[in-house]
Amino acid sequence: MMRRIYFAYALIAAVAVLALSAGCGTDAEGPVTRPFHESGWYSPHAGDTERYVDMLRSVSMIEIPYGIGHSSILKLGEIKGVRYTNLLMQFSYDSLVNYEGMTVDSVVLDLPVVTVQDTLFHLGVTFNELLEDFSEDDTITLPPMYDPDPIQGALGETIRDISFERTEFSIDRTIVQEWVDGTADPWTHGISINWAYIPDSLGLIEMYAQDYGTNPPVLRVLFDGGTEVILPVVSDYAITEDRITALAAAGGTARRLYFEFDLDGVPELATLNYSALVFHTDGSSGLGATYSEMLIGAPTDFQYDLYAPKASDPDSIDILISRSLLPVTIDAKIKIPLGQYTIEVLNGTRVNTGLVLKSTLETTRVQILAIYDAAAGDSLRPYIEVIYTMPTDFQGER
Amino acid sequence: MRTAAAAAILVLLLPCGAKAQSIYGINYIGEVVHMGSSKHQALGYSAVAVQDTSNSVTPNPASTADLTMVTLTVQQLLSASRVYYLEDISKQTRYQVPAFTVSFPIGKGLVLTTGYRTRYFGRADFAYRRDIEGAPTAYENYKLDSSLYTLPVIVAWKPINTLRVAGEAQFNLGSVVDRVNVWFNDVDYRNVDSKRRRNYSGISWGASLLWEVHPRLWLGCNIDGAVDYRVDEVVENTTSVLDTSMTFDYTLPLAWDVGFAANAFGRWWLSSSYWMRAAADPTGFPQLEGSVGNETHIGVGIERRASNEGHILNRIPIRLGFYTDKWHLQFPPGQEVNSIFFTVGSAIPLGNTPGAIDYTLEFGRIGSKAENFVEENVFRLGLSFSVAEPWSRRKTERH
Repeated sequence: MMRRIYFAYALIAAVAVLALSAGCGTDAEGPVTRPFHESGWYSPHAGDTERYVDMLRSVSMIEIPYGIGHSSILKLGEIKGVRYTNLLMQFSYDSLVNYEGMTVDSVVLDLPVVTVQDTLFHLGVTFNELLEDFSEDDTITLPPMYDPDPIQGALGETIRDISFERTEFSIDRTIVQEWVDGTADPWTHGISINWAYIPDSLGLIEMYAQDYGTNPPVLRVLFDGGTEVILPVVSDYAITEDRITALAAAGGTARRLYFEFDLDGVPELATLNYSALVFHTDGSSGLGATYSEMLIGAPTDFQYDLYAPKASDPDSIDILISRSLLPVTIDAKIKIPLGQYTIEVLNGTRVNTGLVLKSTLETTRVQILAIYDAAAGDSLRPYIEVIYTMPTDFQGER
Repeated sequence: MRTAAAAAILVLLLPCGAKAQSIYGINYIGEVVHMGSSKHQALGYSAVAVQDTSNSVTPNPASTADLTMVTLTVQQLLSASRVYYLEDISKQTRYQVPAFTVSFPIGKGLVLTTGYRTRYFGRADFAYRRDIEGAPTAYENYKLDSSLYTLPVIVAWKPINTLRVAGEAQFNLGSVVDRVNVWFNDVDYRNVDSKRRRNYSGISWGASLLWEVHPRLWLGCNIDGAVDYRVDEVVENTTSVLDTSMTFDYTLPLAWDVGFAANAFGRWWLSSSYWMRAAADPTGFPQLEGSVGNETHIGVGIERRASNEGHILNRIPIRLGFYTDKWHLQFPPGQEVNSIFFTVGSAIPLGNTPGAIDYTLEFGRIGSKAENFVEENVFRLGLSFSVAEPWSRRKTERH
């Protein structure tokens, strides 16, 4: 009996407690504690939080050419300051062995052009036999040695005009006949397709490379009687020439941006909340992907790596700070958070060797990230932004 | 009884989000935490000379000499208030960790008591917005999380029928923790945290006396000895190079109180007490230099004691009280902070044992807008749960 009474009392107490708890909410104390805090009567005070902008000691470009031999698209022409000067192609002649003694009727070099920018752009080129070998794995900035006498067409022509409508070009049939008869070796090292002249207006011709997997450039040999033999390209390469005038990071050619700064204006006792590399992109000079790259699903954003280089070599990565995507064809203010890197620089556990921004796809294809430099004025120039907080004062000394 | 006691403790411990007693308790140790059960509270904390035969938590430890059974008392305070500053109003709900003690009669007129008592309880949590050029909105967050408590060991003795005395050893422990945090509403931004933790420890002594001068007049007094705290302070920051640690001494001065209880007529008793503690040296709080004064409490209470017979309303006590506190803290510096409270309460007896549930309502004000800029209008609910049973061997049930 007594126990039941105790429980009843406990229940009453619980109900009273819960009723009071539920009935009375608690507001923020901030407004009413202000006089205690502002007067220093309640002493802890967070240190000031400030923004510091380091205008950078210098921003420079490091040129480190990288081959893009394994690209899925071959290009001729020029876009955004990147000139595609030569195409190198090597063919497989294995199929010819079975046709000894037959007569060659015609030979055509078939280039699988996908797009031409602008549509009316056309380019005069010559086909020259290579005298040296090349490899897709190499970084090639100049074409290997080739025979200066162009390969002639069926009518003896040497300059061929590539355009969106014209992508098949005849080859003197006697050349291939000699290969079939065994009186001459095939083009052992392949051919080079070279600009015949610089056109009045520039554009870009894009075609599938053998690395795309299907529909590569081919030599089509037609024998008397109608038999056709395909000699596909087994290795190809587009050589680029860097004519970029903007402050830019680019893949393929390749350029990296090197930012140097000192952070002297950050107080010694500051604790970092945030730091970022800030710059403004110049969309008119940027390149995310060409049209044919977009057609095969390549991303249009610039894929970048931001790293701190080793002290002795800006090309080599000491620590990767950020890897992500940036829009490059619009004008935009970009902030790349620097995270732990700046914290370590400021606390002395890391030497400040600057920051390098590069394309992640340097060895795959050309992308261009162009940014405004100091000459563009304070509102557009790159800088390092630091948000820091000074130490908390617990003793009411402020 | 044990089951009921456990249930009561659980119930009273329910509100975990404890807050300080008052908005003025945001700072500095030594905030007035009145000692005693809700019976004492209902009498305006004036019952230092009131004999108490049902509670182990008492304003006068000497009173426990009258306990004849093992007695457990748990006392809980809940408070709801509105705080005013200029045009701002903040509603606050606060809880205090319960006080609880157990008394063991160990000989005739000799009672040993131990338990837990809160000395200071501070909780605060507030934030300010910061706008920084070029950055997302930031917030400065402040959090105070403090509790100083006493583990008392009391021996009360009743050498003669008219006199009770008690000696007390107090083990005082606890910490005051201030946290400051700068927080951005953006995951790319790092919080900056700082924490100062002060661990307090110290032993003090107390003595008390309850004297039945006449069956209708009782006198009581307490001395709560000075506490010489050793304070270990550690400051931790997000940037560890800023971390510091130090140790210093802080003395909470001696406090004393005196009071009387007189039978006015019939079952009506009048009680009054005066309590004070001298101003402490604000060691460790340099910003409070010149803002600390003597701390005093004056309480008056009227009780119509319960009758053993008659209508149910005759069998419960009726208690009324009034008290005023002068805080040790002055705000603005030099300006006293006073509080005034009116109290009303009663009790429900627990069967035929001395145990009882005492409950009290308090209405009052701390500080004033005119003098202190900040004013807090407070409503408090006090609840004590006392259970008692003889200390004898239980019969073991076998199944």
